[in-house]
Amino acid sequence: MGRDPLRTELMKGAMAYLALSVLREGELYGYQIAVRIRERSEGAFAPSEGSLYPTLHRLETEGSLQAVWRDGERGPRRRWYQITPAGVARLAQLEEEWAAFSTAVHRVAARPEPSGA
Amino acid sequence: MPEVPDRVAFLRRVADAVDLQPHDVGEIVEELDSHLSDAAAAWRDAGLDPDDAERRAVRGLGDPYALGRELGRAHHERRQLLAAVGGAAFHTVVFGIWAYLSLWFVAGGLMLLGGILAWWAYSSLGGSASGWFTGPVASLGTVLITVLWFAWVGWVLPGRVARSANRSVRGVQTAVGVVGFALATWAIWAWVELDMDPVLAIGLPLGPVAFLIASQRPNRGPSLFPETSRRQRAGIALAVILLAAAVGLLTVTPSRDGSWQADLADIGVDPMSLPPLEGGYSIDWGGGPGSRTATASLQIGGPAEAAAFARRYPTLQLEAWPVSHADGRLVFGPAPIATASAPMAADASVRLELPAYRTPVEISTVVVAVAADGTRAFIAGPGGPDTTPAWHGTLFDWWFTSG
Repeated sequence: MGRDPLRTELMKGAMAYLALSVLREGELYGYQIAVRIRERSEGAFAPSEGSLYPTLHRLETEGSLQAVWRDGERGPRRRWYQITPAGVARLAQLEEEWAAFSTAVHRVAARPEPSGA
Repeated sequence: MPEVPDRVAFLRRVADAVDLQPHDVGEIVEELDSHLSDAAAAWRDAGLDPDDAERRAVRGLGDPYALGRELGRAHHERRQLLAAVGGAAFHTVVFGIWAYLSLWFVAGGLMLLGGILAWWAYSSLGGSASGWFTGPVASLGTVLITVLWFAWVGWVLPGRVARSANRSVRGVQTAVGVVGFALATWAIWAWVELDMDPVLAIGLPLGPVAFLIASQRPNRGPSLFPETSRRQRAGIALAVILLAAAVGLLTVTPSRDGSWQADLADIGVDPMSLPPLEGGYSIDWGGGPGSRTATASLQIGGPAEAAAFARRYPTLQLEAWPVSHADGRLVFGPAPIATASAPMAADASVRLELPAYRTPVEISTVVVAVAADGTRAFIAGPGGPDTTPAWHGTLFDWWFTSG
């Protein structure tokens, strides 16, 4: 069964916000970020892993994240991501934007109270 | 459900589509590879067998080409329009030349193969072969190569332009298709001049159409060749070899006996009426695309002889007659298709330009001296059968101008 296109688009838009949010708590590598988002949302957000990595690289390019390679204890070496001060500021900005967006969506979707009663 | 490539193929496709420096590409591939290892291990822990776990892990990363482009895009902003157009033009020229040479190289090999097969077939029957790959079949081959070339470029170019512009293939394919179709149509109708015939006139316009169709079903990756299985490749090779053999046998004609006779009385020339000349004569052929000229020169020994000859035959005339073959005889048509004349002199020459017809005509040339009363005396000829030049020009001229 295909993914819901609306959900996919929303996930794309939210991916930077979600990735910065989980990285605020400590450095992680890509696969861990995907798992963390999925678990934290109790499966509601199962990010397309294909959209996660471009987001991480974009955030790194703009300076919100810093990446470093580390050898794995048993497996291959991995690229760990760490949020930067610029990333913290970016996260705060995204929180505000999402709050405003979410409030606006709720306002539009909310059932209007009957008037003239 | 689309086929899921194995991990190596998946990572190769990502790398092909990334469009970054090799070092960056290597790091991206390594990062995705470690991700796939983690994801496959998680699926195995969930109870899937190793193959299914690997497939699920790869599928989780989605379309490799889209992922590669997105990763490339993440590293640099969309490029300016000028850079995109420059990249498109560069890829068009480089790949276009490469594809054109490749197709002709393959066609040359097939012609050689077909020729060898035809030669072998005729030799087995005790004959010999000549007339290789000319006429409508050669034109058909040219049309086939042209259409294939346009389709190939149309199939590859959107992906190349997308990489240059750092955009998706879907986002550029319509623009590439329409612009390419318009430019190709203009070039093939109004710019390119060819030795044209009906097969080319009908077949060449199909090239831009093939480009347009292929560009709307483009290759999403950077590969220059469609993905085919080993069996499909074998089938294509077999079909091509059989086609080459069939074309060779159909087009390579048996050698014709070069000896022939002609009766000049048929065209009103008396070979015996001209006194022997001490000087010499020659005919030189020249010309370029769509034109063919013959220049006949006559040198008469001594001024007195020349003056006497010129009084008797004041005109030197070069004539091109349509001819056909019948039982070893050259049969002249009812009238020459072109004539040119000049005053007779000790050192006279006359230049004749042959007309170009849409269907070339076999001709033979005759040089005659013409008396005041119209008597025609033989000087030279008839020349060996030749043809009028091919009609040369643009498609537009072929279809919309007369002549």
